[in-house]
Amino acid sequence: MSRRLHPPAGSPVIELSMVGRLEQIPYVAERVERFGAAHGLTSRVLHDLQVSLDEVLSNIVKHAYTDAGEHRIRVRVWIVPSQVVAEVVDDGRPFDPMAALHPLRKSARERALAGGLGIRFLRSLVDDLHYERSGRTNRLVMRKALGPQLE
Amino acid sequence: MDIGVEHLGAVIRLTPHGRIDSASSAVLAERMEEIVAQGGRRLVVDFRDVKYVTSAGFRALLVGDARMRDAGGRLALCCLPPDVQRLFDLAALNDDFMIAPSLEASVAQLQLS
Repeated sequence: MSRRLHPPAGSPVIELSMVGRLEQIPYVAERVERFGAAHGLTSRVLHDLQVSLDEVLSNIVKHAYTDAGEHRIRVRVWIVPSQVVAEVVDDGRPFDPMAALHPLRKSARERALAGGLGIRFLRSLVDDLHYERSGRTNRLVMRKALGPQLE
Repeated sequence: MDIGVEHLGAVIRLTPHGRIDSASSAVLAERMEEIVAQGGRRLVVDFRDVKYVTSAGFRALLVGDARMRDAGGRLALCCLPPDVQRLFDLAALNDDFMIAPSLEASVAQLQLS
């Protein structure tokens, strides 16, 4: 396990652990939504964060595992004054969403059908992505600026 | 995910509630398949109660649209909330669907097409 990021003392933080299955993802989204809303995140920021988390988690569940064993994914979300930070840690095979390349498609429709849309959403909806492979663990940290706090 | 179904003359309206995500998009895909299989040829998906659509949801919609067209039918989408419209913009898929701002406009489009 590599060094852990530490949310600044006093920041609101939620820590979740899910089994690596698709049907678990909505529960994580729901918990993150309630956490974010309780700490004043705008619905737009929460929307973008939930879509991004779904893309990351579903990608892990669908592509990261090379055996049929049970895997767990850890999700932590915390809020600092200007940003919300989400960290996803999994034990699947290495995958850096920032380095993922997709062959040139003829159209947006083909890209969406071929599976390139999730990465596009992820890159567009968060402000910063940091990926790190350490031992047998992937760690992806997403940061999103909170922007104006009034809706 | 809970999906409302309503018949408006020859037009069938589906109203999904909540997240059209990696887990629930299969439910929407299945429902659209069923409608085509049962002979429905005019379908509107009403997004007014949708929180968000992930890439899996967009794939389900594209496949549903293709199935409907192959069967000689038409799929329309209406009432996209602003955040959902932003995802359609990011996906550059606005021109791949028949999208209207209101249910009435979608129903009119479907009846004319």
